[in-house]
Amino acid sequence: MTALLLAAGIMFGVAGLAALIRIIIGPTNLDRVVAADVFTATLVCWMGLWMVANKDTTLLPVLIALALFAIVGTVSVARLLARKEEDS
Amino acid sequence: MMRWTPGASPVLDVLAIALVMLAAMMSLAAAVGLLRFPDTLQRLHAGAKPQVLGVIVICVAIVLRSPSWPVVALTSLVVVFQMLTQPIAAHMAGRAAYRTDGLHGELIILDEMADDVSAADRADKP
Repeated sequence: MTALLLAAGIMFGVAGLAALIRIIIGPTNLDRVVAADVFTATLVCWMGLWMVANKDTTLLPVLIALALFAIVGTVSVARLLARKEEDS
Repeated sequence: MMRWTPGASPVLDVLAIALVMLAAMMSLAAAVGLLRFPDTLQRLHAGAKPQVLGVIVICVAIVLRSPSWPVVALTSLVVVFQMLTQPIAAHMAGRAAYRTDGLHGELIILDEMADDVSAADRADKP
Protein backbone atom coordinates (compact mmCIF):
# COMPACT_ATOMS: atom_id res chain seq x y z
CA MET A 1 0.00 0.00 0.00
CA THR A 2 2.69 2.48 1.00
CA ALA A 3 4.75 1.68 -2.11
CA LEU A 4 1.74 2.27 -4.38
CA LEU A 5 0.97 5.55 -2.64
CA LEU A 6 4.61 6.57 -2.99
CA ALA A 7 4.48 5.74 -6.71
CA ALA A 8 1.33 7.85 -7.11
CA GLY A 9 3.01 10.70 -5.23
CA ILE A 10 6.05 10.52 -7.51
CA MET A 11 3.79 10.55 -10.58
CA PHE A 12 1.97 13.65 -9.30
CA GLY A 13 5.35 15.22 -8.57
CA VAL A 14 6.57 14.57 -12.13
CA ALA A 15 3.30 16.00 -13.49
CA GLY A 16 3.65 19.14 -11.38
CA LEU A 17 7.28 19.51 -12.48
CA ALA A 18 6.27 19.22 -16.15
CA ALA A 19 3.62 21.91 -15.63
CA LEU A 20 6.26 24.14 -14.00
CA ILE A 21 8.62 23.58 -16.95
CA ARG A 22 5.81 24.60 -19.30
CA ILE A 23 5.19 27.70 -17.16
CA ILE A 24 8.88 28.62 -17.49
CA ILE A 25 9.40 27.93 -21.22
CA GLY A 26 5.81 28.48 -22.48
CA PRO A 27 6.05 30.60 -25.61
CA THR A 28 2.93 32.64 -24.89
CA ASN A 29 1.32 33.81 -21.67
CA LEU A 30 -1.72 31.68 -22.46
CA ASP A 31 0.44 28.54 -22.35
CA ARG A 32 1.62 29.62 -18.92
CA VAL A 33 -1.94 30.10 -17.69
CA VAL A 34 -3.03 26.69 -18.98
CA ALA A 35 0.01 25.11 -17.32
CA ALA A 36 -0.78 26.92 -14.08
CA ASP A 37 -4.29 25.46 -14.21
CA VAL A 38 -2.86 21.97 -14.66
CA PHE A 39 -0.49 22.66 -11.76
CA THR A 40 -3.46 23.60 -9.56
CA ALA A 41 -5.24 20.37 -10.54
CA THR A 42 -2.07 18.42 -9.65
CA LEU A 43 -1.97 20.22 -6.30
CA VAL A 44 -5.61 19.23 -5.63
CA CYS A 45 -4.73 15.62 -6.52
CA TRP A 46 -1.70 15.77 -4.19
CA MET A 47 -3.85 16.93 -1.26
CA GLY A 48 -6.35 14.19 -2.11
CA LEU A 49 -3.53 11.66 -2.04
CA TRP A 50 -2.46 12.95 1.37
CA MET A 51 -6.02 12.63 2.67
CA VAL A 52 -6.39 9.12 1.22
CA ALA A 53 -3.10 8.04 2.77
CA ASN A 54 -3.66 9.49 6.22
CA LYS A 55 -7.43 8.82 6.34
CA ASP A 56 -7.81 12.45 7.32
CA THR A 57 -10.26 14.99 5.84
CA THR A 58 -8.73 18.19 7.22
CA LEU A 59 -7.81 19.56 3.79
CA LEU A 60 -11.29 19.32 2.20
CA PRO A 61 -12.10 23.06 2.63
CA VAL A 62 -8.80 23.84 0.89
CA LEU A 63 -9.92 21.67 -2.03
CA ILE A 64 -13.23 23.54 -2.23
CA ALA A 65 -11.47 26.92 -2.25
CA LEU A 66 -9.03 25.79 -4.96
CA ALA A 67 -11.86 24.36 -7.09
CA LEU A 68 -13.75 27.65 -6.80
CA PHE A 69 -10.95 30.13 -7.39
CA ALA A 70 -8.74 28.36 -9.91
CA ILE A 71 -10.92 29.94 -12.61
CA VAL A 72 -10.11 33.56 -11.68
CA GLY A 73 -6.55 33.65 -13.00
CA THR A 74 -7.36 31.89 -16.26
CA VAL A 75 -10.40 34.01 -17.11
CA SER A 76 -8.75 37.33 -16.23
CA VAL A 77 -5.61 36.61 -18.26
CA ALA A 78 -7.67 35.33 -21.21
CA ARG A 79 -9.83 38.45 -21.21
CA LEU A 80 -6.78 40.70 -20.89
CA LEU A 81 -5.10 39.02 -23.85
CA ALA A 82 -8.28 39.22 -25.97
CA ARG A 83 -8.64 42.93 -25.20
CA LYS A 84 -5.00 43.60 -26.11
CA GLU A 85 -5.58 41.88 -29.43
CA GLU A 86 -8.62 44.07 -30.14
CA ASP A 87 -6.66 47.25 -29.33
CA SER A 88 -3.73 46.56 -31.60
CA MET B 1 4.57 12.63 6.95
CA MET B 2 2.44 10.17 5.00
CA ARG B 3 1.48 7.22 7.12
CA TRP B 4 -0.83 4.46 5.98
CA THR B 5 -3.77 3.85 8.31
CA PRO B 6 -6.12 0.93 7.56
CA GLY B 7 -9.61 2.03 6.60
CA ALA B 8 -13.13 0.68 7.06
CA SER B 9 -12.52 -2.50 5.04
CA PRO B 10 -9.60 -3.84 2.97
CA VAL B 11 -11.74 -3.95 -0.19
CA LEU B 12 -12.53 -0.24 0.04
CA ASP B 13 -8.85 0.48 0.71
CA VAL B 14 -7.72 -1.39 -2.41
CA LEU B 15 -10.41 0.36 -4.46
CA ALA B 16 -9.30 3.76 -3.16
CA ILE B 17 -5.65 3.03 -3.99
CA ALA B 18 -6.64 1.92 -7.50
CA LEU B 19 -8.57 5.17 -8.02
CA VAL B 20 -5.61 7.21 -6.78
CA MET B 21 -3.30 5.38 -9.21
CA LEU B 22 -5.79 6.11 -12.03
CA ALA B 23 -5.73 9.82 -11.17
CA ALA B 24 -1.91 9.73 -11.03
CA MET B 25 -1.72 8.17 -14.50
CA MET B 26 -4.12 10.78 -15.91
CA SER B 27 -2.09 13.56 -14.32
CA LEU B 28 1.12 12.15 -15.80
CA ALA B 29 -0.46 11.82 -19.25
CA ALA B 30 -1.66 15.43 -19.08
CA ALA B 31 1.82 16.58 -18.10
CA VAL B 32 3.41 14.71 -21.00
CA GLY B 33 0.84 16.22 -23.38
CA LEU B 34 1.52 19.65 -21.89
CA LEU B 35 5.21 19.31 -22.65
CA ARG B 36 5.04 17.60 -26.05
CA PHE B 37 2.07 19.08 -27.93
CA PRO B 38 2.86 21.83 -30.43
CA ASP B 39 0.29 24.60 -29.83
CA THR B 40 -1.84 26.13 -27.11
CA LEU B 41 -5.14 24.56 -28.12
CA GLN B 42 -3.69 21.04 -28.05
CA ARG B 43 -1.99 21.68 -24.72
CA LEU B 44 -5.34 22.89 -23.40
CA HIS B 45 -6.96 19.69 -24.65
CA ALA B 46 -4.34 17.54 -22.92
CA GLY B 47 -4.43 19.51 -19.69
CA ALA B 48 -8.21 19.63 -19.26
CA LYS B 49 -8.56 15.88 -18.66
CA PRO B 50 -7.20 15.49 -15.12
CA GLN B 51 -8.71 18.79 -14.07
CA VAL B 52 -12.20 17.28 -14.01
CA LEU B 53 -11.92 13.49 -14.20
CA GLY B 54 -8.82 13.25 -11.98
CA VAL B 55 -10.41 15.40 -9.29
CA ILE B 56 -13.63 13.36 -9.43
CA VAL B 57 -11.68 10.11 -9.08
CA ILE B 58 -9.64 11.48 -6.17
CA CYS B 59 -12.81 12.66 -4.42
CA VAL B 60 -14.37 9.20 -4.77
CA ALA B 61 -11.20 7.72 -3.27
CA ILE B 62 -11.43 10.12 -0.31
CA VAL B 63 -15.06 9.10 0.28
CA LEU B 64 -14.13 5.39 0.08
CA ARG B 65 -11.39 5.91 2.66
CA SER B 66 -13.45 7.88 5.18
CA PRO B 67 -17.09 7.04 4.43
CA SER B 68 -19.36 9.51 6.19
CA TRP B 69 -22.06 11.95 5.05
CA PRO B 70 -20.19 15.21 5.79
CA VAL B 71 -17.27 13.97 3.68
CA VAL B 72 -19.66 13.06 0.86
CA ALA B 73 -21.20 16.54 1.02
CA LEU B 74 -17.85 18.35 0.93
CA THR B 75 -16.34 16.22 -1.84
CA SER B 76 -19.47 16.59 -3.97
CA LEU B 77 -19.13 20.37 -3.50
CA VAL B 78 -15.55 20.11 -4.79
CA VAL B 79 -16.70 18.10 -7.81
CA VAL B 80 -19.60 20.46 -8.58
CA PHE B 81 -17.42 23.57 -8.38
CA GLN B 82 -14.72 21.96 -10.51
CA MET B 83 -17.27 20.92 -13.15
CA LEU B 84 -18.78 24.43 -13.10
CA THR B 85 -15.57 26.41 -13.37
CA GLN B 86 -13.17 24.33 -15.46
CA PRO B 87 -15.22 24.35 -18.71
CA ILE B 88 -15.53 28.15 -18.43
CA ALA B 89 -11.78 28.52 -17.91
CA ALA B 90 -10.98 26.17 -20.80
CA HIS B 91 -13.47 27.97 -23.05
CA MET B 92 -12.00 31.39 -22.26
CA ALA B 93 -8.45 30.16 -22.73
CA GLY B 94 -9.32 28.50 -26.04
CA ARG B 95 -11.11 31.62 -27.28
CA ALA B 96 -8.15 33.84 -26.40
CA ALA B 97 -5.77 31.30 -27.96
CA TYR B 98 -7.73 31.39 -31.21
CA ARG B 99 -7.81 35.17 -31.27
CA THR B 100 -4.10 35.63 -30.48
CA ASP B 101 -3.00 33.01 -33.03
CA GLY B 102 -2.01 30.50 -30.38
CA LEU B 103 -2.53 27.69 -32.87
CA HIS B 104 -0.79 26.31 -35.91
CA GLY B 105 -3.14 26.91 -38.83
CA GLU B 106 -1.68 24.11 -40.90
CA LEU B 107 -2.54 21.56 -38.20
CA ILE B 108 -6.24 22.39 -38.32
CA ILE B 109 -8.31 20.29 -40.71
CA LEU B 110 -11.66 22.05 -40.31
CA ASP B 111 -11.87 25.63 -39.01
CA GLU B 112 -15.55 26.44 -38.53
CA MET B 113 -14.69 29.51 -36.46
CA ALA B 114 -13.07 31.28 -39.43
CA ASP B 115 -16.39 31.45 -41.35
CA ASP B 116 -18.18 32.94 -38.34
CA VAL B 117 -15.41 35.48 -37.72
CA SER B 118 -15.39 36.65 -41.33
CA ALA B 119 -19.21 36.81 -41.35
CA ALA B 120 -19.15 38.93 -38.18
CA ASP B 121 -16.51 41.19 -39.74
CA ARG B 122 -18.66 41.67 -42.81
CA ALA B 123 -21.70 42.45 -40.63
CA ASP B 124 -19.68 45.05 -38.69
CA LYS B 125 -18.70 46.99 -41.78
CA PRO B 126 -21.43 49.39 -42.98
